[in-house]
Amino acid sequence: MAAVLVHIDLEGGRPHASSLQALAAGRVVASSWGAILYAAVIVHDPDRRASDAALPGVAAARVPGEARAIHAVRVALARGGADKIVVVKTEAPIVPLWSALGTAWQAVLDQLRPRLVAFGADAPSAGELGPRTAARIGARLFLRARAHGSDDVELRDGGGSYARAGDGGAAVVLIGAAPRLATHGEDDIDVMVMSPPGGADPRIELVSTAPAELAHTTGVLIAIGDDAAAEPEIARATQRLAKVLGAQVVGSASAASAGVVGPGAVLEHDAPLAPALCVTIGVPAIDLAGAASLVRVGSAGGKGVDGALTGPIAPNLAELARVLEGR
Amino acid sequence: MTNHPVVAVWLGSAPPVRSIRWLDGALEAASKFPGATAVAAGDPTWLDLAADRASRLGLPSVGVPTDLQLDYLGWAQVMAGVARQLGATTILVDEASRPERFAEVAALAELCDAAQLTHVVAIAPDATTIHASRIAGTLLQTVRIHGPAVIGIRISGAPIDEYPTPRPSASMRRLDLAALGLDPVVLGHRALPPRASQEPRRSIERVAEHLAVHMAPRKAAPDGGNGGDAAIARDVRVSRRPRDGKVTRSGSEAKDARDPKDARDPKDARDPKDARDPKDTRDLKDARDPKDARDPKDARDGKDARDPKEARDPKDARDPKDARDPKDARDGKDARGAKGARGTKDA
Repeated sequence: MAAVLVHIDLEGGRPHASSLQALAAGRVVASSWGAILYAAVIVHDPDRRASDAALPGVAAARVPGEARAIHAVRVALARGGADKIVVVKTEAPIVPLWSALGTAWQAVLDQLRPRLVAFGADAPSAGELGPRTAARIGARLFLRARAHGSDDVELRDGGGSYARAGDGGAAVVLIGAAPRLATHGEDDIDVMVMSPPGGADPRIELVSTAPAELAHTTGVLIAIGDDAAAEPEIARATQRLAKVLGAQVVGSASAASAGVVGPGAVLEHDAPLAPALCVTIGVPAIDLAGAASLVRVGSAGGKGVDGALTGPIAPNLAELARVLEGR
Repeated sequence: MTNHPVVAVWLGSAPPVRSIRWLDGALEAASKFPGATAVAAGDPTWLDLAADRASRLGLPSVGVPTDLQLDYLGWAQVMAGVARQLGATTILVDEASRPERFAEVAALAELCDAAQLTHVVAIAPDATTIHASRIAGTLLQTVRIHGPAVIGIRISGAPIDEYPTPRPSASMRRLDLAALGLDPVVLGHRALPPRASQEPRRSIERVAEHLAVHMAPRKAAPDGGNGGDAAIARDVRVSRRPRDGKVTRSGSEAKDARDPKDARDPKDARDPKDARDPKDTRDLKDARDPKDARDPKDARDGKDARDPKEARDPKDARDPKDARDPKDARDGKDARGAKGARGTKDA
């Protein structure tokens, strides 16, 4: 039987929300394709190299006390729909880098030889592990994909590429959205623990961590133009949309004085930005990288624009937020 | 004797989608490394632009003219071939100018057996070491890179409103695919099907669909659940029943799975075929209860996925010969099925 493998990032000892989304998508696909759904967690084993704890930026994702910690993760993943759980212990610190996690992750791939590997698109490790996994197993790669269909579920990304049950070859998918599934009742499922040899790649040495500037964000931004920011109704709708998207609102000093943009989110004219997604409201003076997905509200679409809502801004924003809130 | 990195900067296979300042930024970053070379592939117009921007910063350039439209792994094979020609040990990748470039960082690192680093926003050479700062969520990580590496950079240059149309470059060194040891026919197996340019989504519903895959995931409910999308759940509710008609992990089947009749022989757990290292790979639950249900006849799964025959069936998984051997990728062989390679359609 084929294997569908979901990588689970931990956040404070619990599965990351985006990883649980990937697990939900994996559940739907595995059920449709007749596959077994594995959820794999990489954890730091402090017994293997105690000195790692002093490294900067090392997450607290460990298996302290073994039984209790594994049990908590197991319950969460079982309720999320996993058939089996793989816990991989590594001496490397848990940093969302291929250089830290690659050796351990490779052991899982070798063991399961999955047909489909899924990551939560917003999970910390997805950007580093996902594409490298795809390259390593020669798979097709889908970014920000989601499950479609009912009986014959397929995964489809925004570019129109899809993975189906009958396809040949493997696929790696970064899941952007997943169905909301009911909690699975059974907590008592298999946990397989692996301790592959090897640790972090010494070629990448983490020196320090610090908070990133907003201008460097790789997440979601809403950039608001000065004219739009001056309209209270638009400002309110913008905040509502930002909340549902989990986005930061950025704009000029003028927009900040209107109260739409926080003091730390003021950008200079033509500021270069490279987020994953930018929603522009009105005509903000930003310079967006080509890699960013762009949705315009209140201005016309064009080449390289993924979505454009022309017409009155405030009603469009409010309706957009309402639709997204209902999802 | 110290070995300074030999640097090439991969500019990609097509011009930037929007501003070229990120292209300039990548070239400026590369220009910090003595002897760095700019590399591009694709149609002649794009090669001329790449050569022009590189020459403005005094960087030599290499172009691979081709009309192939490849996926991330196909272009990575092209760049890896150029890197071998140049003897490059460090490859910078402009991952900001086009969305598809991001995945090429990892693919290049895999093909070159190099370390990888993505989302780098600052970079500086320091003798044999490279200092880099990268974005990881809301954090800025500072790292030192020793040895061969592929580094995805998102560093912008100065703002540019307009730039002169580049003229055909005489200075760009042209390499064809054959010179890189790549067969265009074989490489074509990584081709992407031609698509019409996508029109922007113009309705609220379609824009919302697009935004939904970027929404911050909801936190899991206290009782479990996944915080997923209710709109999709409406579509897939019936699909949680597998093809064979068994309800996955329903209460009755879970009960069956724990039935001693279904429990596998404890000896199986120690079967070397089941684990890479029997000492390291163990099942916690097996340790507690040897009558655990990971039997091939497991009622929940039908078959044990760790049965090597099943897990390595090329129908269920990729062919290990094709997919696992890095040499295949370097040779331009397709690692996935042709059906899969062309499995696209309009959304």
